Amino acid sequence: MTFIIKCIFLAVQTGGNGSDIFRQKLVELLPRLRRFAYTLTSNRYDADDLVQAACERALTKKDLFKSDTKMDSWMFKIIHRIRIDMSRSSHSSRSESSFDEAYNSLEGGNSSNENENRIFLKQTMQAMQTMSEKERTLLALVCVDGRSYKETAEILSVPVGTVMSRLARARTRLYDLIHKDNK
Amino acid sequence: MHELTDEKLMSFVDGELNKQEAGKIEKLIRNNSTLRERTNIFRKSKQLLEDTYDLSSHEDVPEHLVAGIWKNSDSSAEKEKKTDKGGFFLMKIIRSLFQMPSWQPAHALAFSLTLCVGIGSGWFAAGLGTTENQTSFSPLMVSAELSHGLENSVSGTSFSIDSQDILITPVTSFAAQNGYYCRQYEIVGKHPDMRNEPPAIGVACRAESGQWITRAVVVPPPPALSPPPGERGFVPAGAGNLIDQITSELMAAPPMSITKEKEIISSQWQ
Repeated sequence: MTFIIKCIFLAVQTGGNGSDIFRQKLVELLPRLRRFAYTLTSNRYDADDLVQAACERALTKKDLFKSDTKMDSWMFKIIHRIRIDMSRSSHSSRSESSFDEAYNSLEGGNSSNENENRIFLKQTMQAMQTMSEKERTLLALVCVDGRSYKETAEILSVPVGTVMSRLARARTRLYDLIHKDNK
Repeated sequence: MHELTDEKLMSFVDGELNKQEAGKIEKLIRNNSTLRERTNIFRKSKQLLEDTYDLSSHEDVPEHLVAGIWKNSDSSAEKEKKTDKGGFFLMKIIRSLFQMPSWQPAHALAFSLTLCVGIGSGWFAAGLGTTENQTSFSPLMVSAELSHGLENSVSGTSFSIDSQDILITPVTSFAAQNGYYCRQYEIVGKHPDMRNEPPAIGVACRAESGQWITRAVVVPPPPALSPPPGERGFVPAGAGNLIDQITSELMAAPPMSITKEKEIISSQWQ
């Protein structure tokens, strides 16, 4: 070769370095994990803390991950469990006023459309604050991340029927909460 | 009518029903304003949540999260030494990866792992290379800015990734053998120290989600190892050859014309 190029083939050339594949896959999932965590917490800092905790737990327990299963579902499950652990150990939460953070981040828009969007965003986040953790998780998985009912049921370890009935109730309640302010 | 529970209507909105069931409900909804209203609750609640929380998916992932994952990784300079086995082995692996008939998630992962890193000192300084303590992973691969730029920029038009102080210029676009679109692009450092360095070259392909995933990046060596001036075009021959081989392995058809590219960009690569 005219000059030296070092090509690093993570995993591939070493016959499949499981650890690096695992880490790479985790990195690729980060945007979705953050969005999921953000939907649960409505606060970027809490969301990133949650994702970090989930990644640490996943790396510690990576031997338990079955390579023929979906890593995203596994990670959502871990995040869900961490949230349950957190709610058991502490009732305090920074997310009380967290919608203000997102709301304020959009300050500056002048057009009526932007204003309307900000109002809806604020109302949606406020409404989410009043939902239970179970409802928020369902809404995050199905409505925001687009998981199927079956996948959601597997992540939350509940029957599909339970997912459907809780989700229908949660969506109706969310809609009512948002629209009662506009009536 | 009494069978149309909220759960059923919601399943219809979420695309959880089979074609036959969905068709029946669609018909009923069309002729019943109460049902339409109920259905709207599920449709609008989903839309609102998507809009509200979509904010976070367009942001770049904070570096500390990526670094945290790669902390204590097995990847090291030692492995880098072991894996430098020359072009033949390299192309064999690339060929086997690119001949996969369809793009499954596992393939996307394998492709994204095909990260070739040169030893250009300037690129290390820019955080695109690898050092003894760092992983070979580049944050460029998960950059929303890169994805947005490749989605919207015509070849020859540069866009900037401010978080990494680099300029990206798409060079060409083509359809890959697996039916997905791919683009070759140049990466140039904006820092004055890097202006005289030859560009790095990357190849990224568009996943179903609309995200552009970098499959390979070839970073040129430091100037001392490059051929003398005048013997190369915009990129050292070796790097160009390597990326050309990767590109030709991927291509299903000749590169698109600029007109075709503009059309496809305006139709969001459909």
